[in-house]
Amino acid sequence: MGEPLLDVTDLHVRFGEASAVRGVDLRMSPGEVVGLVGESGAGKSAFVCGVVGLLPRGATMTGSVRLDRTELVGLDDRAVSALRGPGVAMVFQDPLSVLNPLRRVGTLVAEPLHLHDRSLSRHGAATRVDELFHLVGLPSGAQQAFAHELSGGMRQRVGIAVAMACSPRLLVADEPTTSLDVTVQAQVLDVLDTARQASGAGLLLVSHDLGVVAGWADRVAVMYGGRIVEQAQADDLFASPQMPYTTGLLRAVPDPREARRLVPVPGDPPVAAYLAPGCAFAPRCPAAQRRCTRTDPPLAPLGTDDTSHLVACWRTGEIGDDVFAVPPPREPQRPAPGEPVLEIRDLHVTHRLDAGVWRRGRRGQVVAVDDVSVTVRRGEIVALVGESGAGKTSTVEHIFDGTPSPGTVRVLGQDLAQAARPERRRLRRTVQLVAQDATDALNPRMTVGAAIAEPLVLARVPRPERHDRVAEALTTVGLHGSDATAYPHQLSGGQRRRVTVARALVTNPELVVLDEPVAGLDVSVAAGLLELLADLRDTRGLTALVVTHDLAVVRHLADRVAVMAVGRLVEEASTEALFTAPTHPYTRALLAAVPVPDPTAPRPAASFAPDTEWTTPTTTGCRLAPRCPLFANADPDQQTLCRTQPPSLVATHDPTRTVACHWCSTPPDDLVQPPQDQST
Amino acid sequence: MTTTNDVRPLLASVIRPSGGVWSRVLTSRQAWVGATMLLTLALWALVGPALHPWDATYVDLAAFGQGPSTRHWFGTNDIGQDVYAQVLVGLRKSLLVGLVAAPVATGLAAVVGAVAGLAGGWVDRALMAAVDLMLVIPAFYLLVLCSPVLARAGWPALALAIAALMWMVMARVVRGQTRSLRERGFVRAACFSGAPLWWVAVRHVWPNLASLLVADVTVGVGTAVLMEATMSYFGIGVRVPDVSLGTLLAAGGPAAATRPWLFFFPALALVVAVCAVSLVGDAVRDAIDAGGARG
Repeated sequence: MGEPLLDVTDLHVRFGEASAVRGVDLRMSPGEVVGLVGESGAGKSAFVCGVVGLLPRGATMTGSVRLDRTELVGLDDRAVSALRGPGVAMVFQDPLSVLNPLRRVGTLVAEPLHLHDRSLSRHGAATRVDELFHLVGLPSGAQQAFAHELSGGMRQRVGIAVAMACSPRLLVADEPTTSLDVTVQAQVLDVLDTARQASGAGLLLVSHDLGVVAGWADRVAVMYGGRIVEQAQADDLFASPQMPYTTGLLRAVPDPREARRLVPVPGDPPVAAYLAPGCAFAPRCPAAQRRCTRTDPPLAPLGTDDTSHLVACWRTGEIGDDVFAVPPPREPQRPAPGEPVLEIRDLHVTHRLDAGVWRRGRRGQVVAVDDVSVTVRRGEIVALVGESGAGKTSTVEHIFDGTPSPGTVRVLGQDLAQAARPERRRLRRTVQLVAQDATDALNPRMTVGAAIAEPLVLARVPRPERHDRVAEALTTVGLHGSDATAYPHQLSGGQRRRVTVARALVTNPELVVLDEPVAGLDVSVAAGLLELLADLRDTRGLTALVVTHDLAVVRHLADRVAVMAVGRLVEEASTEALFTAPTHPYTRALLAAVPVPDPTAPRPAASFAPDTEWTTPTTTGCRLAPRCPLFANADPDQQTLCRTQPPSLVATHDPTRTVACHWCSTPPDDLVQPPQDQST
Repeated sequence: MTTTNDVRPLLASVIRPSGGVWSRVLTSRQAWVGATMLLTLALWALVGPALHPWDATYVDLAAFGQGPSTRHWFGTNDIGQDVYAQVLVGLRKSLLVGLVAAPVATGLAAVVGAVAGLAGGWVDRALMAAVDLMLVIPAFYLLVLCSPVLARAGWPALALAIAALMWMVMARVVRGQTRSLRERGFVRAACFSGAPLWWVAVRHVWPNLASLLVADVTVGVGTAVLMEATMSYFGIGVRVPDVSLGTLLAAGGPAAATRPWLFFFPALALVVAVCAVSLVGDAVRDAIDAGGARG
């Protein structure tokens, strides 16, 4: 290793009494990609802000951060500003909040160029902006757009272009793809990597997602409680993790390639202000000894000859691979699915776009759900999968709010629209929703017990029975009876999510609808929740409709999967069949894009064209055609068919699978039929 | 079911969620100071006149417009009436009017705002039209029209009339807040479970607007007292021979520079009373906020 690009030694960041970063050492060579992994509260953000010099007022930083031998700690703001851009640049998590909504993105990319080179001509800047847009794979026409007119993936490309503008020596990306869809995520990471290679910059990739880091980083550092607890070459770290926390993280991440059981790390991530002495992970570590709770272990090389693998653990070498042992696979004796609990037939949902505040009336409408049919039978878990904007949420909300729309929704065989009012109310109560945002779904002024009891009160369950059932629901989801007196803000994110599950289960519903059950949760906590749901499935015969964009979750939980894209179902199959042999090109792209927590696995190749064109979905024909690889390679006749006629779901050789595509479904001979004319 | 029995006493306290709020109010020093002040004032206004030799309407022919003395503690007015006695009687009336009018106005605003916000549609439009109508009609004109009725019905009618003039702006605020709350997950969840409108209002909307409503009551007491003063000044509120802080302030105002006791003592009583109410209001609001998430 020659002269390091970035050399951080003993960095501390404090916010008042709380230590967010407690002595971090990290070295990066030029051109190296280092992944920094950690859960919320690990101190990743504080560390990154320290390196880039963006710590908020009131934070104190001690130690040393050297970028190309320039010491950053103690440098005044003007000097750091000069360095930001050509020296170090940052890609932020949420590009929308970083991009000025009042200026065209082209001028935003040009801004750092002018700031760092006052003599730069307008023409010179324009040429460079063109180059940058080309580099990040955006059409140069996009320069004229405003941030809100671009999709999330395109915005992040602009964010990368801004960061790359001054050809920084070090590029810091803080959760660059967390708010993006999986298919877009792979593309954006690709762009980031291309940009890095083009400029020879080092890349510090910060993420909570081990899959993302595994696919792209040369070296990985795991952060916990404000310190780096393990650091090694990516292959090495994923193959033989030494620190129990790293092992736990790896066991807690669902792997889309196999339906292995997850091992949740008990407890919750630490809070910087309340760190006990000793190893920060000791309270959650199954291998912790008395020594671990007294003094913090130093980050030391694993072997005398191997200095690349560093571990901070007192028990290195003493504990083996079985710290978080994977339990034997589930072999549940589950009965075959029974009668349909929920049947959605030919559902269409359109959202009205209002003309504005002053003029009442319509400006137009958006077709959110177009001819979708889903059936959930008793005792099975069906997943509705798709990217944002696919119409998943619109489908689910329709079950609950019941605004009249074309199509029928049957609960327990009864049509909701036809049922009399009290009957309809009773039927709706048999379907419970677990909302995506648990913080939003719980009244901040209501105790947990009162929140769980609410549906029972509304169903006129007598008080003594109510108490028993609330207590039972709390124990079912792994909370204590004493948590009933807590207010939501006193609980952690994972506990709040469990409360919403308890609230849904307390009425013994026929069907539970789970909207993104683990979105926004830390991996170790999400694993616990997924295992809980799997337990409920195996022991109580939970019937559920899981709405998610996360295919790894699906593999772990669902029996059957329905894939949605742009308002329509494109493929439906049993989980096993879908994961082993996806048929529809969109499903294949979706599966290929899921990051795998294994550096040796092949990197996801973007098979679906990026949505960098401003194409409004065609109203006739297949809406996926503009991005579809099959369409791109098809001959003109076939393209005409795709463009003019929407494919409908047709049966295939596999009786459990239906696919909506003109060219990839291979139906049994007796089912072959020409695509029917549909007047739209 | 042994485990469930253990948590029963806990749960019993949980299902009544307001329990914690009052215990927090009772441990707040601010609340105690405010409540003590308010009770002292009320008690003083209630029994004070009985312990005082002078009646509020009695005219002391030996003392016209005299300053404070041992004979007349707060002095006398131009026609020889004892100001101390008048302040006590006036305070009683003003407190009654203020303490009745403000909660009634806020309550009306809370109900109208929540119903309009939750129901939406034509209910919303009708209620908001009513609010707008009330806002544009000159309040004073209404009161003048009603003054014969008010005169006959006494102070409770006066308090209600004042309340009827104070609720509109708050109703609009509550409606706006309710409409944004309606989009929150917990309100939607309750609606999905088949909760009727009143349930959503009582369990979800009002608790989340509690600090707003309590603040409104607190401010409202002061406003109501002042409004009563204004009305009394124009002769459509409290009437002679009855007195309130309002009539006293109105009468003493012009003489504030020359015979300050006529203005100073009623004004002091008013300030102390409003302060006491504010202290209690703040403490209640803090107690409610501590129960939920801060921010």
